[in-house]
Amino acid sequence: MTAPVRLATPASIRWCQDTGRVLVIDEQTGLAASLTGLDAAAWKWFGLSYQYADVLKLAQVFLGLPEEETRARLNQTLTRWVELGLLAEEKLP
Amino acid sequence: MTNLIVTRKCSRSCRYCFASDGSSSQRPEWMTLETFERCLDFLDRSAIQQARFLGGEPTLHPLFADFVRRAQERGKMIVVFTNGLMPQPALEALEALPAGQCSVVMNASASGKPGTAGRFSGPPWEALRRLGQKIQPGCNIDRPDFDLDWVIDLITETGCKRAVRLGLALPALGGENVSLPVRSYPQAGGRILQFAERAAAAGVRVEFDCGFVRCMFSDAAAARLEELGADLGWRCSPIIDIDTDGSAFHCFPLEEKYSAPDGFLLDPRWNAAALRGLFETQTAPYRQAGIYKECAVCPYKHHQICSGGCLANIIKRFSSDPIRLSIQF
Repeated sequence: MTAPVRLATPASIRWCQDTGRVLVIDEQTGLAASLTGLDAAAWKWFGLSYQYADVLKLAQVFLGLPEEETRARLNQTLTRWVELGLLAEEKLP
Repeated sequence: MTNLIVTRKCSRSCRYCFASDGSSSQRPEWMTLETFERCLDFLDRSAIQQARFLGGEPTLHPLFADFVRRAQERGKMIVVFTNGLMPQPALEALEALPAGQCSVVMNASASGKPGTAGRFSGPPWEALRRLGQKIQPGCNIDRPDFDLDWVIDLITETGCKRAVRLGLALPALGGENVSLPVRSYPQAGGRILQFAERAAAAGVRVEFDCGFVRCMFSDAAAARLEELGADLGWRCSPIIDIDTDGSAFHCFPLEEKYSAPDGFLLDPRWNAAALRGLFETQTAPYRQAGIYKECAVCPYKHHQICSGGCLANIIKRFSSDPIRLSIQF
């Protein structure tokens, strides 16, 4: 089993909650990502400092899907955020 | 549009003003003649026909009259934003200009209603009397329950231009000035309509500065304002303010965030259009949002009828709190 990956938003990331979406901006690259649905909900939950396991439970209720399917969807979301640069592997001190 | 900040010094300390006095910076107190000439070169290569003097209180600059003369020699229309407390030489320089070549806006707080005793006598009202049709009052709305009826009396008594420029008190990012809370905009909008009705009855035209949003008025109110001949606008765009040291930024509220490249004033490749393009690119991600969360689903914003309000208010909505999580993929 591999060690857990620690992810964090880079310092250039800003976001705000709009009606029906979360708008995430990377001030350095100029990227603007409009998150909706599960993506928006998960961003807000992580923004409230919920742990992955808590977000997984909330996402299960949000999507109405079994745990494994929800986990796969949530992990796809996180992978996409990493690809977009909204999250990056955090260097441990 | 480009404003020339010839000094940060001011003879007032209005609580809503987004221009810091610059005392904490290394900028010179006064723009030098050399920098001013470079500014005029910049205006020329940008095909800008106005020299817009801003401060601080620009008329306090010891070379103000000379600056006006030099700008006029280059064929510029003189535009001045003042608090009305002008030194005599500055007032005389503006008085001497032909009516079509000079436009002055005298800013006052919307909550700065003068007392009844001796009102509209002495400075700053003297400037309104002496400059007549070259000058108009401007009022900054810093609270939603403002009363502007006195401005109609002021215009009638002083014989100045029958127009009033309304501005919303906007926040300076990183500053401590008082701004009108965005949730108060609809309340302020109701007051503006009442004022516009009374102003129109007295033959006074109402003009909007930047930062207004369409939704602070109902459809009926917006239609009525148009009927009354108000100059409406729901805009926020790069102004380009050039500071005393020849540096420049997007506008005063965003002074701390978006500035022009060093040395742009001396570089012939940079004109106002190029700078505006740079600032528009830099601010584009934030402009997808508005001052309210509802702007995301607003048809006026979607169809670019309304910009969504002042960018400083928009940026204030964004959080930079880090998101952290551990995950085992």
